[in-house]
Amino acid sequence: MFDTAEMLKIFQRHRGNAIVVPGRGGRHWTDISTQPNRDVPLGDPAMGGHASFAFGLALALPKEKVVLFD
Amino acid sequence: MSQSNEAQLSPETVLREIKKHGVTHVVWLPDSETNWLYLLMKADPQLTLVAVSREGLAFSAAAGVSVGGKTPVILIQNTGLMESGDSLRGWALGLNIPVVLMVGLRGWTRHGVTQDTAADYTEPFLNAFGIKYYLVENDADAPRISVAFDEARRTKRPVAVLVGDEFHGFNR
Repeated sequence: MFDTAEMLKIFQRHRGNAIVVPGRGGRHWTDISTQPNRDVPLGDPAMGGHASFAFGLALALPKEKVVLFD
Repeated sequence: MSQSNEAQLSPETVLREIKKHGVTHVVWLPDSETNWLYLLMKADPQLTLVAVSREGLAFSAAAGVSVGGKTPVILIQNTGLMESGDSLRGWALGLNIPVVLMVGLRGWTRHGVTQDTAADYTEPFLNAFGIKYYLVENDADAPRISVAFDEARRTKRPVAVLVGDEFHGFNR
């Protein structure tokens, strides 16, 4: 079974200064992230939509790298 | 006076109103009814058009734009609005997104007799979600678009503008 928390720990090492939208992995990511002020842990606002949310965020902040886990 | 000669809502007026409120991103589902507005928006270097494949995605995309510090407007039809109930709930209302929804009011007539139930259900749908709305039929009504923007900003909630002239001024 693919372990979400282990995957996010590995990602953390390569995150750089990216803004992170952790999707439903947010419950793990909040304990792993070292830059919570650049995280957007939304939980599960509705049935789908994390990808388009992150897309809108990236369009609004074109100089930032936005990483989405969906 | 024939219906085609009655006062219309021009795309230029709509564009002027939304730009007055600093809109940066137009999140919309492309359709033939808004073709003339689309051409105007596309030619405007201050606007970014964000096309979505289904209306529910408009709410999450607009939420992302808003969280990123820019100003979205959502441009969809009432049919798609009704299909987007869960996204409206979770993304726009749940995240307190101050966004105006420009909603084409398919089926609406000013005579109170509708042949299309899309018009019949639109206002009850908005009322069920507690969304305030303003009807705009012609250029003289355009200040209501500003009322909607001001209210969305003040209440941090989505506010709807129902475009009752969908089949005239938007589609020459």
